[in-house]
Amino acid sequence: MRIGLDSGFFIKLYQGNEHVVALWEKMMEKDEELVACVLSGYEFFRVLLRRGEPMKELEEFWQTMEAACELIPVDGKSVREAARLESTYHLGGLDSLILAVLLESGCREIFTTDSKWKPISRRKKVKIRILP
Amino acid sequence: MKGRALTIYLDREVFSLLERKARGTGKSLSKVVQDALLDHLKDERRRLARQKILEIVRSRKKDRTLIEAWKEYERTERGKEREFRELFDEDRS
Repeated sequence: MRIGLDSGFFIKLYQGNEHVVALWEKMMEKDEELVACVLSGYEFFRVLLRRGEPMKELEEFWQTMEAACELIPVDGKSVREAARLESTYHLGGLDSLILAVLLESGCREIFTTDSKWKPISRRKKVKIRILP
Repeated sequence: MKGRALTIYLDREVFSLLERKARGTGKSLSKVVQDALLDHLKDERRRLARQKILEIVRSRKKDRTLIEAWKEYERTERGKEREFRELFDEDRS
């Protein structure tokens, strides 16, 4: 099963959140197909640089992540889907783009820290897991 | 596609499986071997990267524990030392 990871997942993983680290270990064990949007990289660096994390360590983590899961770019189809999601669910622009890329890439399960994503699962055939 | 030639020796059993796969998919033997090798190398790279992520996270946790222990030491023991030194300095003056 294709599993989508939102920016919050990577931030919490980097910070060593126990729940997320345990999830990561489980995903490794099952050798799950993990995907993320390239834009999550922007959020990852933006949030953690603002919190004073050293760029060198962030780069090492993210470069490794690029090999650990598939990073999907934004395309024309996902841009249109993002606009639709934004107007339907009142999400932020960046969140809509990331979510649209994950949905368009066929994810059936998405891990996020954004509780605003929860209502998506009612209309789309996707499980939205909100991280604590 | 431009590439480099490589001579490899396969067990008869592997070779016959390879031929069957090539016939079934309509691909050349080279293409079947190349695809299989590429998949294998990608899988290996992904698994190693995932393991490395875990190592990075664990080593950061160790660093954080050390930093917190040092801060706690600064707050308690070093604080006591400072108080003692201040008292000592007062007595001397």
